[in-house]
Amino acid sequence: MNPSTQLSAESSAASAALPPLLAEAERAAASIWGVHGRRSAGSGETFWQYRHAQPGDSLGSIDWRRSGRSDDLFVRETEWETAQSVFLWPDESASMQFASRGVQTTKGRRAAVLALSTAILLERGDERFALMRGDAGKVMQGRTGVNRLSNFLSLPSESPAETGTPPETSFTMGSRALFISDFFGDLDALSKTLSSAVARRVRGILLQVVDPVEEAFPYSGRVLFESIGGGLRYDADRAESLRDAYRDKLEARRAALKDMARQAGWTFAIHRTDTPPTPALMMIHQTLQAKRVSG
Amino acid sequence: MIQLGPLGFASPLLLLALLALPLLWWLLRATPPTPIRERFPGVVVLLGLEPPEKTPQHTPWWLLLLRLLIAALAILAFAQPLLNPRESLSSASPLHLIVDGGWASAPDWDDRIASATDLLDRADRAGVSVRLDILSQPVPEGREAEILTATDARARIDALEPSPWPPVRADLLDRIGEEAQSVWIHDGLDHDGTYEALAEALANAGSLRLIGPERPVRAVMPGSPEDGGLAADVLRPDTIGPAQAQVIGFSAEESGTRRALAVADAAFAEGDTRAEALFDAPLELRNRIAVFGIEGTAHAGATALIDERWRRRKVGLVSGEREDGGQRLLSGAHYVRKALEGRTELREGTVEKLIEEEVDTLVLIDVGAFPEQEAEALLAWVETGGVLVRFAGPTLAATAEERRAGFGASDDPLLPVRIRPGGRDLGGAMSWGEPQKIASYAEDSPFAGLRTPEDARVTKQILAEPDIDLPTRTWASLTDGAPLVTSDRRGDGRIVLFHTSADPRWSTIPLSGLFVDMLDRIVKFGVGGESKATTDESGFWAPVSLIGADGALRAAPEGARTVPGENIGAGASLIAPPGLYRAVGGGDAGAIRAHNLLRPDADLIAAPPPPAGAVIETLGARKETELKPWFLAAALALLMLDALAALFLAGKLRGAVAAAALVLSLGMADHARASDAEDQALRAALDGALGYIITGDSKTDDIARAGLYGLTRTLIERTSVEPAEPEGVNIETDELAVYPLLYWAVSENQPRPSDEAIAALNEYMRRGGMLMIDTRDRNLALGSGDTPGTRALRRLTAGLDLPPLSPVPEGHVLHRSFFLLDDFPGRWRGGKVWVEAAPPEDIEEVAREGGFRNDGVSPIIVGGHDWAGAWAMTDAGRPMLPMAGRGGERQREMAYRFGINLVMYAYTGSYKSDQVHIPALLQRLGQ
Repeated sequence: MNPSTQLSAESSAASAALPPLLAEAERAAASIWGVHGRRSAGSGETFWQYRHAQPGDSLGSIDWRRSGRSDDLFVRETEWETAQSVFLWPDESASMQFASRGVQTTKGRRAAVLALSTAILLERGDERFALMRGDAGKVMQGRTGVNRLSNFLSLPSESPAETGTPPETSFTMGSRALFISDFFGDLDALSKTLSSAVARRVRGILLQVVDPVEEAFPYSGRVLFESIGGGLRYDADRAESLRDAYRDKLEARRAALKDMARQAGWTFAIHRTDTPPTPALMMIHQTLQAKRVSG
Repeated sequence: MIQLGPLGFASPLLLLALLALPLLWWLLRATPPTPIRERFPGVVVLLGLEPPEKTPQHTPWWLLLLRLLIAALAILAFAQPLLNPRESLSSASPLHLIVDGGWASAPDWDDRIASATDLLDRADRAGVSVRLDILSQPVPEGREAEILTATDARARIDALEPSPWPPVRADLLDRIGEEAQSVWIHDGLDHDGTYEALAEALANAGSLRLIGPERPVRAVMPGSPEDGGLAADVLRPDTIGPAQAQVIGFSAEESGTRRALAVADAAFAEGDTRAEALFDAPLELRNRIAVFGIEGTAHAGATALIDERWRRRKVGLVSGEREDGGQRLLSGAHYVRKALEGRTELREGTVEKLIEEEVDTLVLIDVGAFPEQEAEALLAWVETGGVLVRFAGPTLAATAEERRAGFGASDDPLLPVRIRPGGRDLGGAMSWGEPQKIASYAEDSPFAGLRTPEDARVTKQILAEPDIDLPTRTWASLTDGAPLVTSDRRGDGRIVLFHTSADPRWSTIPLSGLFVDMLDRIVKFGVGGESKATTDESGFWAPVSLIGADGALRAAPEGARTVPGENIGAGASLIAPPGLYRAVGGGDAGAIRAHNLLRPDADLIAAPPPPAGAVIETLGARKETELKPWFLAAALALLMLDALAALFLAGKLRGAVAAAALVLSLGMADHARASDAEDQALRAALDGALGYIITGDSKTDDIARAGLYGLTRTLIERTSVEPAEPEGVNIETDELAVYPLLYWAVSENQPRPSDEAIAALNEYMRRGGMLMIDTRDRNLALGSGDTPGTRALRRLTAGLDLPPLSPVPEGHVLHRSFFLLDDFPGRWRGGKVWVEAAPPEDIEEVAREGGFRNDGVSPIIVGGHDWAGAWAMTDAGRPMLPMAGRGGERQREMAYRFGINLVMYAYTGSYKSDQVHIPALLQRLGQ
């Protein structure tokens, strides 16, 4: 098979997968409505308001045409429109490609949907976003950006690692970040990424996506546990006796994550794949909308 | 080989492997069950977790037990278990195999042959020679105690058939020779009282094994002909407990088939060896019973023949006496009536009426003259075999006198001798002579051997004219030589004259027991010709038909040996097999006599207990059975159970449940199919569907179906018969009785129906069904040539109990049961259509043969016109096949009309032919 036909085959496979993902993301984003604009003065092009000139305003900022109609001096303010970049990291590692029996969607798919719907919401606010992936580090914007993002997400990265860690990224100063993962990967690597983000004054969210069985651990008897990639195994002679220990360890990991997030000024949240994505999306939206926290 | 009770093991060493089972137990316990593999991202979290307990999960105890059982079964299976293992024959001495082979061996003959074959096989393997004695067969000269190889003996056993007579054991007693291991396959009966002696002798000559039947046979015998009723005795050799038996009275048809006419029950009480079954049937039916059989068994012993002696006679009585003012004791008719009552069917009336009623014997008491017409009728009746018994009296004497005095002086043809006028009085006031006693009976008369009572005197009699023939015509005479009873032949019949009266005025004979005996003998003497029975058993007898070992009555083969008279009625033997015999030569030539298997006074005697040391075996019961397959099958089944259990434990039983559901649903489908067939029969029964027999040739079946569909449509359109959709009938399995008409298109490649199916068809036709066979080849198959169709027809209908066939006669109901038709076209026309041959014209002859079968409706119609092809119609009502020949659609219309006539005929039978008589009936009613 020559490279060009292979490419076209892949792209058609990708475009086949694209509309559902995009549609799903659109559907999730459609439920978030009305939260709009920044409603504050800033550097932008759209007129915001006139205000009385105050001492300290430069002469150049005075709108003479407005001021000529009255005795006072007015300053024309434009809305604050500095587009912010949001760095998205939906984890695409092998351990995300899992859905237990009875659950419709894999964790990875849910992460992709959340990331894409966030991007759609951001696009509504004319903000920018970037996919944290080696091949897609460029900041995207607008409807084209959403489509590109959806393309990227529909084409999963090749040879995924067993568990995911956020890739090295040079964050833009003061930008935001959204990490969606099960965070079963190396916590030290995550911590390192977080500190580099903090250094660039990046705030964000750690959203842990888990499958119900990962919380419940409903196994018993002799079970040979295998990781999704098949690289890791654990042979349990009596799985039921492990349940409490597993849950404790999972809680400890979550506590560590939460602690890590708090120190970095990030938010830590948990989302289960058997619940609808909207609440999580709402949370993401509001958190990203929040006025920048000082500091 | 080791043996535990009835169980033996051919390779017992393998059983040692059972010792390894505890080891297996330990191993199975130590091995944990297979883990379930689960994909689980949280394994990262699990890594590094130290499990709280590391003991492996145990296989549950019941699973362990199951697996041990499987192992044990497998070990047992390979140790080759045998149920009832056979003792091997020793090779030291020859095998002496004794086979009874008599009539009592017939019911379980196959088991006997199997047993003998098995023994000979083992003899072959052990390499011993065999001495074979078949007790029911004659031993050829010089071949007594012949030693055979096992193979030769097998060939003889294979060719052996049971004989319809008892085995002769006495002869063997003299021939028991050197040491041998004897095996006697006996029938459980002590036929000639030598059982014990023979068993003893055999046991002394070596070892003895007795292989006998589980239950001894029963036999049936006719009751004594002397008794009034028709009865059969059932015999049994054992006396244990009450038991029931059913005796069926069959007629013996010319064609060799039997028809059950009456059934009677016999009940054995505890301790009885003989039980009587009394038949209570109308005389006509009763007289047609010729064979007794025991219900449910078929062998020579369960078949008994009766002959003319058992026939109950119809006797007519005509009295010419004047009414004597009610003084019954002076009326001769009273004495005759008393003498014959209970033993015969007595009818009274005029001569004409009695002849019409077909009496066998006619008694005329003191009737002198007859009108000319009546005399002719009487003579004609006698000449066809009637027996006319006349008693003298005043009227007869007077008539004789008149006749004598008249011109011509011709003889009265209705008297055996010429009567001398006057007669004589003895012992009266005016006479010299003493009243005479009876002196003697003629040797060839039926009175031969009768006791002569001292007090029977004759005071008055008529006398015969002396004649050269007189002595030969005299049956009984008085002490002075005057004939008392004379008789002469007229054609096939006979005329008997008592020279004295039937009332006590002329003699005291009517008051004595002799009178009863004499009348009885005369009546039993019966009509002449073939059916004459005799009391004389001397001379030679030729077999007419013989009872086979299977109990069937078959015509005797050409050149069958005649049998000396003393053997007849003295029990069957090699020289006198049971059957019907006809006297050859002698005074009784032509008389038919039943010769039954057992003597009338015989009993079935059970075999006495065997001598000590003899091994007893029950026939067929102790068959060696190899159990290895069963053990292996059980192990396999358990193995599957184990697989299921393992799946269950591994939590993967969902698929298995699905499989089980599948199996269950398949079973349900099967059940559904069964109830389908029931539904079909139900529909046919409720709505009267026409049926066609499924030939297996789909094209033929389609045409047959379409044909009946077309016919059904036409019927609904034109008549009030509204059948349901036609049904295909599988004669092997379906219920046939619900179809008024079965259409059978005979095709060459159709497989022959099984015997059960043929039996079902026979039953269907017998019970009033109608089978239409269509060869569809323009009658080629029905011609004289040998065509494929002919062969197919012969092959398929072999075994069908067909009545004699004839082409549909002119005026048959088929011609006019609905439409008036001249012929019966289908796609072809012009050939003959065959139905059951018309019953004899003479209605009386029909009655004699037991009435119409099926009320005169033919149970079968055979033709080759391809009717279904002409009738065949598509669902849209268009004809499917073109008409053959030049008939065109007109002929198709005629074919439909024939179809309608046919269905009408099937439904209404001979109703239309009865309609013919309606004008006559109405006329008679009007008067």
